[in-house]
Amino acid sequence: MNLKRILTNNIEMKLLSILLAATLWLFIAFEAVDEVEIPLSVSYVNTPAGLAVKAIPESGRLIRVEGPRILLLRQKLKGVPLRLDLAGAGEGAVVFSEVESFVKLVQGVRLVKLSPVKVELHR
Amino acid sequence: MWELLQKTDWLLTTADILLIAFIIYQLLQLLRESTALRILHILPLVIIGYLLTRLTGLVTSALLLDNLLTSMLLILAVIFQYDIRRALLSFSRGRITVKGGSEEDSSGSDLVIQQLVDAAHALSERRNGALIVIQREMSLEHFMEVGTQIDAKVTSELLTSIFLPYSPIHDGAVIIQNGKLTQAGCFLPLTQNPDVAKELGTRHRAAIGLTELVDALVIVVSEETGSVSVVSGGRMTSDLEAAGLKKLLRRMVEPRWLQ
Repeated sequence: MNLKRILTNNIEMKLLSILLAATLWLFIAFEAVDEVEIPLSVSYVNTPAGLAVKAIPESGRLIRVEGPRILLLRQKLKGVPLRLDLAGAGEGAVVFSEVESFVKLVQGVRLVKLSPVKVELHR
Repeated sequence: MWELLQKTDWLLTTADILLIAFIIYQLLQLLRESTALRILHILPLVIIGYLLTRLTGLVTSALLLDNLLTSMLLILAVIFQYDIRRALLSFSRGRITVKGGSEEDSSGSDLVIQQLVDAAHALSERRNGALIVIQREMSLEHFMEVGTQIDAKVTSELLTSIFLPYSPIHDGAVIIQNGKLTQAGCFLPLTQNPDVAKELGTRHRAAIGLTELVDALVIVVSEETGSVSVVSGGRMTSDLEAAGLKKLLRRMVEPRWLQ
């Protein structure tokens, strides 16, 4: 029996087997727990007039999360926005000490590391 | 997604998928001829659907599909219960060492086959419907609960008289075990396969139904046309002449099953 005949014999069942194996692999690969770094996009709201915020350098804005790969992919597509409310910011320093509380993650994704840990604004 | 693809060692992954595909293919081969096989076509859709619902954050759908996938193994075991049983039995059967039959054995089985051929021929000529089951490796005890116990030598005369229209047990099947007629008037399970030709009657459906579950061989004589068929493994060979039936029986029934 030649190779072509071996491959084409019962082709429907062979294709179904490959499809089932591939989807099983996809399922396991996407459900496996992984860890990734995602850039943190910091934005400010209710900025008082006359106040200019110096941007945090991009290298300093990073979040490391872990969870099933499928959820990490969703988190990446969604992004990780960090919105800081500057309403009422007056003279002196405004400190956001627990930045992680402002970060909203997809359910099932866990925060591993966040940078910056604290945001301090001076006027 | 791209990162996952980049992280993947493609050679290993391809080997992994092909190995799993080979195992699945072997399992599907054992389950071939089963209509339940079609259910497996939806499994990839369920898995892809589940991943998509997780990706898009459709919480309720994801939960529903998650539970479905969790219990899938149990669901498949229930759906494929007959096929799994048949596959396991055929697997164990393959390991039995078959000893070569002696000349005496084969002459004894030839006599039984000749009686069966004569009976089928006589019943066919009279247009008397008949259902004759020959037990091979798998036991038929489960299908013998209803019926009349006989325990007689297989003879053409006895078989034709059982299937005479005024005989009280002519409607059921007769069972032959180890070369003896052991039971008559047995009821067999009908096939649930939708692909079976609609013109086939209850006798043929019962023969197909039984052979889908066990490895028995069934001779069916049609009441309407008088044609003789042999059913094995859910497959039917129809319109057999006496010579063809004899040849087929000698090929498909080992002498030790008629001893």
